[in-house]
Amino acid sequence: MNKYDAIIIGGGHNGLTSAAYLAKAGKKVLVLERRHLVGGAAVTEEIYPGFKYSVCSYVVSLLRPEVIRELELPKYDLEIIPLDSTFSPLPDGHYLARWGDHAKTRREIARHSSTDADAYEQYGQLMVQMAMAVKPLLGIIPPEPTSWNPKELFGLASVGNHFRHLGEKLLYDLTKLMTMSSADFLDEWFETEVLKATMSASGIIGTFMGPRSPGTAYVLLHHYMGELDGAFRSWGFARGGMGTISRVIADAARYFGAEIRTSAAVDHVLIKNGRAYGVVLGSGEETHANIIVSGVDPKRTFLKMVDAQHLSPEFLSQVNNFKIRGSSAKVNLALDALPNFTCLPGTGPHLAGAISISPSIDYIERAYDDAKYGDFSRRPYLDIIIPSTLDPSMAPPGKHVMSIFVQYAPYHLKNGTWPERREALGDTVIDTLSEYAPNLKKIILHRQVVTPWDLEHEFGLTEGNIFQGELTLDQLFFLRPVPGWAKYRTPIKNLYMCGACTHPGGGVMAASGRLAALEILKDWKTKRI
Amino acid sequence: MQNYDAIIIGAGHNGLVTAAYLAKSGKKVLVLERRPMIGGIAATEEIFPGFKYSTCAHLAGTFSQDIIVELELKKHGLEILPLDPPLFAPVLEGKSFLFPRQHSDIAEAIGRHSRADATKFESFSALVKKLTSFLRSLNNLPLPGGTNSGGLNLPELVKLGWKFHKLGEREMYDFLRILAMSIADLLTEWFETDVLKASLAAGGILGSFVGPRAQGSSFVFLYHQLGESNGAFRTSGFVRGGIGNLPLAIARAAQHFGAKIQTSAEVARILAKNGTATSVVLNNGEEISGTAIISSVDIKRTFLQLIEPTYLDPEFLLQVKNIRSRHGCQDQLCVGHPA
Repeated sequence: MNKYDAIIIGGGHNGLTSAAYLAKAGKKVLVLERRHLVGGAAVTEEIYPGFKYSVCSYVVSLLRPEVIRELELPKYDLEIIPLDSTFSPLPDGHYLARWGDHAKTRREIARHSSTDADAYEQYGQLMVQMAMAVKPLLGIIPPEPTSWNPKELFGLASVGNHFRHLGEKLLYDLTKLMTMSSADFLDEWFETEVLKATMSASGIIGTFMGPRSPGTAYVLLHHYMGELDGAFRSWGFARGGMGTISRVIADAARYFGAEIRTSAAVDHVLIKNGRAYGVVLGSGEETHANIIVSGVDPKRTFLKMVDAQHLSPEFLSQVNNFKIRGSSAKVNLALDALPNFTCLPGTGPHLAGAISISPSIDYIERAYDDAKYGDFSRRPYLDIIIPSTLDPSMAPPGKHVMSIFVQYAPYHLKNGTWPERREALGDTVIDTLSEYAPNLKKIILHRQVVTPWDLEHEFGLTEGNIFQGELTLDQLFFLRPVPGWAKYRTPIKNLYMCGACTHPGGGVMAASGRLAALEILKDWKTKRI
Repeated sequence: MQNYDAIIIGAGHNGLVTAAYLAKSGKKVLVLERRPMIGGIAATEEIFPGFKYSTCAHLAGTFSQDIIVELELKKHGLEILPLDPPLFAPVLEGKSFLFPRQHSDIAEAIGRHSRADATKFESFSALVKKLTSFLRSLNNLPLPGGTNSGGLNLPELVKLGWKFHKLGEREMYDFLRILAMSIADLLTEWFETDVLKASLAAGGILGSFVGPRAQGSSFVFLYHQLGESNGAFRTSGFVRGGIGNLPLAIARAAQHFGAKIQTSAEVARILAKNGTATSVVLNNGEEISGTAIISSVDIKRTFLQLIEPTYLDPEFLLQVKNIRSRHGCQDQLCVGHPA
């Protein structure tokens, strides 16, 4: 008789979500986290005294409303502060801002182009329609496209039927969106360069592609998916930083009886006769359970934690082929004062939303060119927020923290190693931003640079990929993470996956964790466990 | 005023093939070509005395074998010479890569660069062949949507599903996965030799405005295998006498079946009445009416230049404007020895 029904490897937000659902269903659950705190890439840490950094992920957008509802997260003090403006400064002293207020945004875009202001309205409507069309797919378990099993065929047919009922026009638009580059897609709508560039940037976040790479338009949709939910605004900042999200899910899991251990790194999974039955910690301690659920990525799970003898060479080659190239970095700053932008001096609402350094499509594509050939961008795309303008508790009074998402920073460098070049990347980021806000260098109290190498070594994300595997068409839905194993199960009995490497993928959504738990509970019910 | 069953605008190879098939089934067909010669971009011209340039297109590897048989093009003078060797890739450091035509020799040629790549090449070719043959059956299906609103019917769907399943479990997933991939990623999964990958990847970017690292380039790669595929290489064949002999052979076949072909006849406008195309007007003002008007020139030229915008729905016009047709590359070099 095992002490635990389930052991979850990794206390990231998906692992915690799976733990909470399994515990809620009455299972005895143990979560094992390698680091000293839970959260994975959704953490808040006080690296410099008095300043709280959301070290990796920095905004919340897609956290599934059913997770919030079913785990009753607001009970544990979850507050999301809306982040509703995007400010794009330009090197020539101009800027473009999009505000939470629709009419104000329209006037602002009209300042650049009146046709774009009209198009922006229609574009928004179409994207919302398309997001509604795609959204149901995020909540279902992918059917198997290769099976004759009536259940699977029915699943496929209902996906097909869902799309058929969207109507011809929407279906064609959707097909285009799924396959086009974000630059081409936006070119069909707009003429203002900075508007296109800033919007296209959301199509490349976390991918190893440029705005002119086909397949990036689809990622644009993600920005519109959250905005539909009545619960709260899509792009938001969690009070207390991203760690709050992980904390409340962990609180919910504990409330349902799950046990969470930190500083407990899993070394390998115990397997006998093709069946997982426990884990061995780095300390040598052995713990057994009926099932093991891995919240870490497939490369780490199958190439490091599982002995190769238990897996077929074909499966291993598929895991090896899973694309997980990291392309982004993070710079966190403690600031003595607020940055002063040349194009819009002083403080104001533009500092309380997203700040995007994306002056043109060419600028971002050039940033990608550097990465293609193994270097970080000489002038990277930056997505910045200043959390302390929204939640003063993030920094001492009058001081600020700044979160800078940096792309591109490829994991594989042509020259040197990341530990050698970490500060050079930091300098490049500061130099880039200083061109728009010249006072920046004078107000920096502390700087933390998180490279893809750090994301791998400190946070366990292979190659530093923030989505646990690239979100490209060949790795989505029933192809994620490994063709034939999209239903959270693995070739090893009683070993499951629940991380962002599974459908529907990355972002602080908690959808993978939830769907995995539901699928596991199905196996329990049908006595397959 | 003369009346034809079908008027075809443009005597490129597609226009001529359409003409030949329609004429073969007894229709009265007229082909109108703007230039003094037929062929469109499949033309051979003696621009420099004594040298025959295949001015634009130069290879005819993907030309359908079925059409050659059905229109008896060999009888009309078409001969396609296989390229042997299919590819020679010089590398700057004085090395080179030569792909032999004989399938059995390929492994050895690759083996000079990498043993691992040589052993994998056979199975890569087999996979490409399999996926291409399924792609070919997709290509032969009428498309759903538009006026063909019934779309795929159930028996067709089941037949397609059956063919799909015949690929095998692994290959089914491969097909779904590979279509969306970049050719660089696909080849990196298989091979380590850069010049081998680059030579193969060329098939993924030909004529499109994308690089080998762009998603979807694997599809272009497979597309180039649709003709008489010899495995993993872009199918290639040279037409004896230059590519211009291909449209000539098709034209002869079309004329043999009774089609009329008129060169130096530029269509200026397509006329329509109540939403139905009725006739074309040539540059010299001559009007020729036809029951069906078939345009083989590109969609932008057809709808943005030849047809009065008032005949068209503004939304349709916008969609046509949004079609991307960017220039890829086409070069022509004449190499010879001084006499």
